[in-house]
Amino acid sequence: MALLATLLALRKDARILKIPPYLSAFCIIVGVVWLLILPLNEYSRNTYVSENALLPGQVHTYFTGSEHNVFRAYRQEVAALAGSSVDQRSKRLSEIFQSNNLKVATQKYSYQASGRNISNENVYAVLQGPRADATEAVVMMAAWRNMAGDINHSGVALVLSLARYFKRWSLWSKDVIFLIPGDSTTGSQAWVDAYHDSHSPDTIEPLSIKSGALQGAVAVDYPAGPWGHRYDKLHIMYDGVNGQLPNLDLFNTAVSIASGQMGIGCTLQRMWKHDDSYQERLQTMLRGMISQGLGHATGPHSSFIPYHVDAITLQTVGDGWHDEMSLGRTVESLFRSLNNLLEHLHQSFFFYLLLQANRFVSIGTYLPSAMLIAMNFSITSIALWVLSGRSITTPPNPASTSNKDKQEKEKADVTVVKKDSAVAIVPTKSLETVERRLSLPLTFVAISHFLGLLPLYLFNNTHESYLDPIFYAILGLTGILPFATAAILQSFRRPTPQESNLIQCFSLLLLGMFLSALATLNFSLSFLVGILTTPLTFIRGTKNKIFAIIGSVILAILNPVVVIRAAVFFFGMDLRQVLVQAAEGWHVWGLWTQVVVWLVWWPAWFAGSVVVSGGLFS
Amino acid sequence: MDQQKALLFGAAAAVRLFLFTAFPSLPSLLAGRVEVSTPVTSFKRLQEGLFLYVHNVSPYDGGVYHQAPLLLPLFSLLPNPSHYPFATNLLYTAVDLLGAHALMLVADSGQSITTRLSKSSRKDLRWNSAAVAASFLFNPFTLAACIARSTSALTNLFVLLALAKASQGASITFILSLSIASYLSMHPLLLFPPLLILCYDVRASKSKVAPSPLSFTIVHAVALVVTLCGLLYVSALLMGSWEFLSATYGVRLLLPDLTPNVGLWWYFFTEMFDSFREFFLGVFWLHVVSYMPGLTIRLRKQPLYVATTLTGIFAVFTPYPSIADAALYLSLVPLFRHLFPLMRYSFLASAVVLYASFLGPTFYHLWIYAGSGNANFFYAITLVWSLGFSIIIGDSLYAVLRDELDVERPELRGKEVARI
Amino acid sequence: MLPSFKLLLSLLLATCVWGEHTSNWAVLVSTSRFWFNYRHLANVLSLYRTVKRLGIPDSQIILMLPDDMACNPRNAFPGTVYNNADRALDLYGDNIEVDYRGYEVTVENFIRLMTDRVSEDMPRSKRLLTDDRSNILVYMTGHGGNEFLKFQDAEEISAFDLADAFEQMWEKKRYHEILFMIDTCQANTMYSKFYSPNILATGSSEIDQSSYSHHADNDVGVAVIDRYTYYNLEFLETKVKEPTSKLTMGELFDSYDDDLIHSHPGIRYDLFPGGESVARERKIMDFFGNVQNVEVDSEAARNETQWREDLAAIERMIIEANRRHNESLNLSPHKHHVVEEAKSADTQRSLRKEGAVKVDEEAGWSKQLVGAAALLGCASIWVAGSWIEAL
Repeated sequence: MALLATLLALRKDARILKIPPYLSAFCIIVGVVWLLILPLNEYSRNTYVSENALLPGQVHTYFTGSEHNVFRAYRQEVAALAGSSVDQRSKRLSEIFQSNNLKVATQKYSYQASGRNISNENVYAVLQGPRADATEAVVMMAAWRNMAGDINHSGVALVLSLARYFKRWSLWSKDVIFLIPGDSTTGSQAWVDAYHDSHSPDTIEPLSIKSGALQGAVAVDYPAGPWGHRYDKLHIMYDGVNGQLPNLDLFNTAVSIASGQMGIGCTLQRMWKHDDSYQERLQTMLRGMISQGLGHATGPHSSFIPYHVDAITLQTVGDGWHDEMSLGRTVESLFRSLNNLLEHLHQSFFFYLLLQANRFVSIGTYLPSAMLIAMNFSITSIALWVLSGRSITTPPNPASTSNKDKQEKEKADVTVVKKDSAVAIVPTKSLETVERRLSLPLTFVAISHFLGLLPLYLFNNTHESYLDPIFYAILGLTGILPFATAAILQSFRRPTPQESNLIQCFSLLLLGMFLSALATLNFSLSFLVGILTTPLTFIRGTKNKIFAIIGSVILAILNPVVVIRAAVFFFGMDLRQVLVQAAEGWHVWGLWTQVVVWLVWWPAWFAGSVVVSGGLFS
Repeated sequence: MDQQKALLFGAAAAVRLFLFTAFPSLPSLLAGRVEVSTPVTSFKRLQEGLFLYVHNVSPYDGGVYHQAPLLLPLFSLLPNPSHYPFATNLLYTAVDLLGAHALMLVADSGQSITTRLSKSSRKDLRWNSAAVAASFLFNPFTLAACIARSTSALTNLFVLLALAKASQGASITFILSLSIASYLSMHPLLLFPPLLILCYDVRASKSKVAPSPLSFTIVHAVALVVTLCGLLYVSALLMGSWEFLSATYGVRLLLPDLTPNVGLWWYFFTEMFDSFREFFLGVFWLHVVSYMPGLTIRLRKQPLYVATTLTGIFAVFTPYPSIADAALYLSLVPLFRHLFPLMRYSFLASAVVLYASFLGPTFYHLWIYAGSGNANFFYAITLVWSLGFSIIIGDSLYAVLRDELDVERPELRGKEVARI
Repeated sequence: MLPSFKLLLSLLLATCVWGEHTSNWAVLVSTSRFWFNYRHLANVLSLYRTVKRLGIPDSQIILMLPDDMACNPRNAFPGTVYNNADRALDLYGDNIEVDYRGYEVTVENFIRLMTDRVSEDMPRSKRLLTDDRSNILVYMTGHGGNEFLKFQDAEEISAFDLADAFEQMWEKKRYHEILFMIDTCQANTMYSKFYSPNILATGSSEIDQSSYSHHADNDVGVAVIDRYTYYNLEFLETKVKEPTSKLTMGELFDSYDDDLIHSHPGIRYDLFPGGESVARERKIMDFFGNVQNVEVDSEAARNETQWREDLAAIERMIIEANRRHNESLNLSPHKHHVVEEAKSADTQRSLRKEGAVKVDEEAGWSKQLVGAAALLGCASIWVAGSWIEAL
């Protein structure tokens, strides 16, 4: 009780409100520094395979010899199909699968996004394990066109050869599905949606043959043409849609087999040269975070991960001396390991940051950094709430001797406050809690969150030729909107300082809450949005015009639309491509990064800007 | 006043019908969420029971349907919701509007502020009944429960009607509505004592001669028992046997179905050894029931407050709570606007409830769909949710006691007071 | 007086003679399932082969295998189990009798087997029908820890339970001597709690030590044998080639090399009467083989008259039993008929089964009428109530 009373008494202390800004700043700094120290050896760990059943690299692989000739033949077939239509291609690929006595099926699909029609066809074959019970399946894929748009000659040929090769083994405990999606992003999504019956039946054909529950998926990306190309390393891509990652065991098994058993080096996150220094590790981690934060699909594997099917893509990079047979043997050994599994991979981590193919940081170590940044908003929100309860008007000084004050003084109430042995005479007003008027702040914050729906709808549903102009229109509109809103509010319903504080309080409370919930789902997006909204903690509405101008300028730069434009410029991408991909992501993969941008980040920015701009018009 | 009410009701109906028609997959999406639908209130289970009933099979045979038998012939009057959902949607919208109307009657009666034996010291602080009704109609939890077509909307309607009729002193309809509410979900029966006192107070203040408390109690108790037995008997006639008792009330008492929900019971009982099960079921039920006598006796001068707090207790401590129960409590709280200045943790409690409302579905998604979390995350968040509501209940209790003190000792108003 | 005194003395002497064992049994238990525990089954099957080779018949071996590695779809060589990468010997082969398979291998079944507390319908092949002159080899392998052994990834047996089971066996005179061998991690802790006499125990590793696998077969894809068992087998295969082998347990124990086994095997001698010296002198064939000693009655106990009288008594019992049997056959045959009729009536009654509930489509509006009636009834009662109140 005594503690509670002291805490309550603390609330009335005037000095307590000086602390939160420092506390917030401390949280932000610690959060950022926390992230920066993660690549050090003390805070990261070596990777290890947790699942005992996997036994990576313990089998001899026999994909050699005459299989190479078969591979070359299939690669020529694939090259011959390069110019043909989708139907011809599907027909020929189906024939090849059928000639190996596999059950084949095709699936047509089409998606509409940004006025474009993406339609294509998937071809897949099911190898039923001769002694298996068909309750589980693993998938091997090679998209017809890889992420860069090249035809995946050797990848498709490898899948065809391995299909023929696997058919001759009787030791499969799960069915193996060989999938050739038309495209790296849309094809696999249409297939896996139809496999789980969550597709929209009018645009996506259902699957005529299915197998058991999917336990894992591996995609191969090897665009080398008919004359082959020896590669140097394997680039492993593991990012899923919306930042979800596959179980770390799958990645570790692939790395263990490739670099251990086969002697092929592995890289990730497009870090072609990695010398295991701090900078390289940090760069890998940050690239991984950006990829995760954007939540986009990085290969055919990304579509599988939201269905809790662990999936990775193996891409060949560089010029070296490894050839297709070593890749084939890697895939064979990987599938033998997956074959040993008895249940979904669950022993290892689902949330991790990879620094290098053999080092990682697990969620327990990195989560506090995003949580601290989200917490700083909550701290500021609480501080603003307490501040809004104080009366802002200064009571008359009881000790003054001027005449006017004397009259007010007689009317002013004073109370005697005793603490330990000190006695003070304090005006009662500064001890009272002022009743808060909540209707304007609540409605304003609610409306600002719903306002974001409009640009969200616009960007997802506009034809691609109009995307650029719409973007700049929205840029201008969102730039002016805070000032316009502040001006209108000042003239019609001027918000009192308390109400301005409450608007900021609620907006930051919601921001902190969304960011902490988001940190559990997509750590990187939460961290990025948190970092970009940190100035909102420190900028308040003031009557001082100069501060108001400075604050408005800072916030105008931090407008989400401006930040996006700047980022697109910084990374050398095309704005229209980015917007088209975002819209495609929304319609095809269920990407919700833009929801976070428009319904969490932008409303918080908007509310903060209106409060700050209010200072210009008062 | 009427125009304000018509506008409010029109807007609420419009929002609900808009959500029903513009997002046709939304009702089944919400009906599938565990926070909104529980095994004893789910619309999907109602449809299952309805199918069996219409096909001359006992609806309790499947072990899926746990709701009251009389709901079945009533819902069989409506066309099949999968093909023609409009009638069902209209019904639920009407239920919400009727509930809001009852709430307005309660607010208008002024019993929350001034009762026969007590008068608040801040009685001019009140919100008008339209604002109270708006807090019910536009509460996101009420909206979600309405869109999901959960049968707890019906329970809420009858509880609100019971409150309204009791605050008007209308005994017969009070008994009728309370017995229907208890018949649908068992726990509103615990509202009988405080609402009885409320009814008595209103009657006594309206008539010149106060009725004798003993005969009043006996008459009403007997009437309640008779009505309940009548309802149960009609149900037995309908079902052809008394087996429905174990499938409806037995499920609430013995908790065979441990589907996750926002309550505290399910996780505890998934880990319970069989030999201790009955003991802990008894303890948990005793816990829920024990709040009623204590609150009723201590705050007998403010029976409407007791009833409100009891609905809050139900939202936290009953076996199958959902956000509809929380919605009922949250919409009754604005009746006590005069207590808000005395509440100390309103911001904290609202923030906790807000956080829990968003983190709950997040952790449920991580547990069930992403497969990377487990039940502990979800249960922890439901504990935080319950904590938020407990803070609101506790804080309002403090406020009402402080208000009483302010009335008794006006010189202490505005001073810090500590309980010794 | 003198003949009966001689009889008493001979009987006393008979009980004091320290008889040797007259039968050999083996209980071979693997406690792990799943493909990556192939080596545990290979361990047990290797021991099975060894004791069969040295003479113990299948009727005296209880083999408990929780999983079927030979027919596992992942097995590249279906129908076989190997304990060596050279794949020279197929342990599964064509002459194998598994007594407890699959999910029958549980802690409860194991303890019931050892203590013989089984139900009446347990087949003889699954019972340990030992007596106080049986030597039992108990070999267990799997995943274990400090004083526990994991059964099938679902339950555990503790060292105390095992010790109590052996004590029950001792009290019920179900063994003469036991050789307990265990190959798991921290195996030596498992026999640390034994307190019954005549048990010689050995384990593969000390507390806080793991037991390691010996090598893996890269075509089967898993490790195929554990180190401790491998070196035991090496000794048994190369040195104990025939049932006439006179090699002792001490020589087996001396062959253990910590550097090769990569853990420290332990031996417990203190429960054995005579301690370490006597235990080490026991022959390997006493536990692994099936050499039976014939026990000859001593001269003093030979009493021919007694024996003849016993024979006569037995003959009389047999004749009496035969007579009764023949009488019962000649008795009223219709009594049997009555019994049969009653039985058939019972079966007919029990054949009437519970059928499925008939689901009809509801034709007509009866349900809706009921619903409308209920609604109208409630509404009218409500309206009546409000009207009465309004008065």
